[in-house]
Amino acid sequence: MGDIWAFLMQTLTVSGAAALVLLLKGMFTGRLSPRWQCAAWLILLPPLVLPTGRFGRHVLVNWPIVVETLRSMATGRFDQLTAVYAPVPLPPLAPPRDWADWLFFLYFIVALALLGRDVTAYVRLRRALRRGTAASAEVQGRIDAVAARYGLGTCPAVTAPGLPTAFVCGVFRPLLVLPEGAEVDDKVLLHELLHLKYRDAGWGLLIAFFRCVHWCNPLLWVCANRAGNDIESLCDQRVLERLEGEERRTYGRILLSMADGGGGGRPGTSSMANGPRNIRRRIEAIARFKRYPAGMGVAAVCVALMIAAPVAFGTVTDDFWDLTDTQSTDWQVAAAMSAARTAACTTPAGAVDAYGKAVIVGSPMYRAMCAPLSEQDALAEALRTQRMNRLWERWDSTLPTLAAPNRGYVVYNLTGRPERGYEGLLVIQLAHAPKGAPEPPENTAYCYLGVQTIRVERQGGRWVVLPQEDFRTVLAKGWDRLPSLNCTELPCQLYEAKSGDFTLRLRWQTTCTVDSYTWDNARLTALVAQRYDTTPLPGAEFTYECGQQLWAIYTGSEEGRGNYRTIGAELTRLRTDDGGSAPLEGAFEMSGVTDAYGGGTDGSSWGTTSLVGDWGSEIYLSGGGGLSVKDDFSLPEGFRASFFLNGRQAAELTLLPVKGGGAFE
Amino acid sequence: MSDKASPRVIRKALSEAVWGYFFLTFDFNFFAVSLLPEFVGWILLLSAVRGLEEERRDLKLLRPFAHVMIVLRAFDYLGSFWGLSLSGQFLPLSLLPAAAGLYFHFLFLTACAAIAGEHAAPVVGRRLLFWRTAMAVTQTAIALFVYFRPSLGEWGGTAEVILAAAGILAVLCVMAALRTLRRFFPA
Repeated sequence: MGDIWAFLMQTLTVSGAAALVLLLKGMFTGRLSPRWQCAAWLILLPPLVLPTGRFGRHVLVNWPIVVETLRSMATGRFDQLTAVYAPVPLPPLAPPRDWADWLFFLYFIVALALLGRDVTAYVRLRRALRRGTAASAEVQGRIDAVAARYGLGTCPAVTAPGLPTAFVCGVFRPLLVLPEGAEVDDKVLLHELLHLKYRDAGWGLLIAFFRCVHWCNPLLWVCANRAGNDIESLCDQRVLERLEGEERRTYGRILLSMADGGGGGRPGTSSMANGPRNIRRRIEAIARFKRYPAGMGVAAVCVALMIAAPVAFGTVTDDFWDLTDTQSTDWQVAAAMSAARTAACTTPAGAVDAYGKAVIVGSPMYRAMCAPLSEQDALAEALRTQRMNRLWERWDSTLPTLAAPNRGYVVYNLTGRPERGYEGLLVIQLAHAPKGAPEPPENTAYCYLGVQTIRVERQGGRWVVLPQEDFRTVLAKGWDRLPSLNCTELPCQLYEAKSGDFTLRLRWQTTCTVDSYTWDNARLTALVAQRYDTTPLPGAEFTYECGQQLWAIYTGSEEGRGNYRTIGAELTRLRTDDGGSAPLEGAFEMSGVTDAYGGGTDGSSWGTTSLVGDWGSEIYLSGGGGLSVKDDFSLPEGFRASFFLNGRQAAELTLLPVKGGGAFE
Repeated sequence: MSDKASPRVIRKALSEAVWGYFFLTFDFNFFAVSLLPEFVGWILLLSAVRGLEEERRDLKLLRPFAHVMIVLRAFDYLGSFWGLSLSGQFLPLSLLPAAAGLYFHFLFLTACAAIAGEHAAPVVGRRLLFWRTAMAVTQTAIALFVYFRPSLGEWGGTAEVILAAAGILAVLCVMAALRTLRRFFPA
């Protein structure tokens, strides 16, 4: 924890888990044994020892939204995201600059002082005990006898004056400390030897440590006291399990006699007398001994697992909402922006999806999900000063006009790798022609597209989208809906190779989409319609489609045309790993096959065409494509082709990218 | 033995338990209206607990859990008419009832198995214990499944179906065992 906000996030997370554990223990008081009641505190261990907010997850309650909202309200800034690097406070590296830094500095100093106090108290105690008197042979003999009777280990024993009761001190070199001049009952020795066996002093140290870390959290002080008492209750149960009949009642009376005395152990020690209130609770637990339902071990484990799992693993932080009320208050704006900022886009597709939908609906909140932190202040201001008009303009995405309803977006030609980021062309169909757009040709299906080059990269654990230009308008002919693959109005990558009178040219284009269509089921009429859901999916994955078209361009003389009767090619993608490729086999084994083509999902294709009559210079040979889910969108290095003329192989070619030749521009 | 329940009362309680599990496990909807509301199942189970309390004192511990589940599920049922629901709104509100439900079923069936053992039906008792444990384990596995599903890849869907089927099978076997136990108590 490097600042006050990180501490707040961590301590609130632990508090939420602690409240759940307290409720759970309360529910099962009298229903599950002290062994389970003590073990239930282990549920609190993950939020105590792990930094909160890791992998964009929260525990039980979306505390990141709460903390970020408070932070934004207090500082007036939206360009920060609280990060917790460690579950314990880290020393401030720079002098305090503002009140938040001073607050953290104060917290850190007090935590350090409390820790120092505990350490000093323990060291002083050990020094004093080192100067103490070793237990007499008779006392040591009694200790050994008790240990032997119950099969327990022992440790060196010392006596010290002024002690109310015996206790064990230390974890790695424990000492059994006995009150000087007082008779200690065998059952008390048994109690302390059981503490020794289960190293309960170590748990006490852990509790003391986290009490110092969360010193200003009263709920955790309560939990620390209760946990300490549960450790003692568990030890009582272990004692009772080893005693019989009247011995158990005697043990209860011994405990009752300690209720009038002082209590509360020091760090690193375990003491039977832990305060009158705690002793009362322990006596009540003793009274319930043997009345807990038997055979509930499996249920106890199952209940613990059911509660521990969401506390340990957390929940993905993906709560966000779109503020449409133009009268939103400051705290609503802060909360909405915090929700958007903390709903981290965990995948490149998630970031693109948030951006695409932000543009479609004009939502600054959706944009905030995938915007760099440096743009958050401006987005908050846009949200604060929004005005409702007929076009619902709240954030200027530069889209020339409204997006066509129910069409969504497509990303063309996405290239890149996870570690370097990606670039692509975002394409959104427009509802109508924007001002100044070219007129479409008559009697032709067409649509207007808004296109924008975008870059997607990782910034501080979030995937963000960086527009590289304003939206442009493109008129796509031959379509009345959002185009799919092989749209000739949109950029592609060209690959070429020459062989004699022909140039083989391959046009490579890809699309990436996120499945956002849902089925709307009208209950009464049983009508079913697909609807495009504009809710962002921050963890989405792309459905990637690649498409290619292979053309043969005739560059020879007019007289030479008569030499060619059929033309064909089979094509495979060059593999980057071995540089080779495996051509389709058998495509041209069938004699007399012409005017046919086919393709595979691996980017391979083949085709053959008859050259009869007045054939044009551009001959379409084949097309192909494939669907996949992937995160490596590198361009193909090239293609290998077997080129056939008049039914015979004319050449083995390698089609390579054309420099500047329409390459995804 | 004077404070033990009569065979007729035990039989009635076991019948209520069978129907209770039926209502908890199965659901039929008429449009958006559930015809087998879950809270009715809990009312039947509470009645079964009251009937068997004299045989097994441990069952008294289950009454508060049953009351809470009746209130929560009744709220969910009534709220469904207006699109309101407590389930899924706040995670702790889902976790604690789930834990209470698991404990309830485990202790209830453990008590029924003990009753079977005391009334010359040890085989039925062992069956109840087995399916009780299976029910608890599948319930827990289903609750934990969401955290392990990503690591199962394409097998996640299959595993989910298997778990759900195992859960339903366990409940059906519990219902069958309770019906069998009921035959040991004449009307």
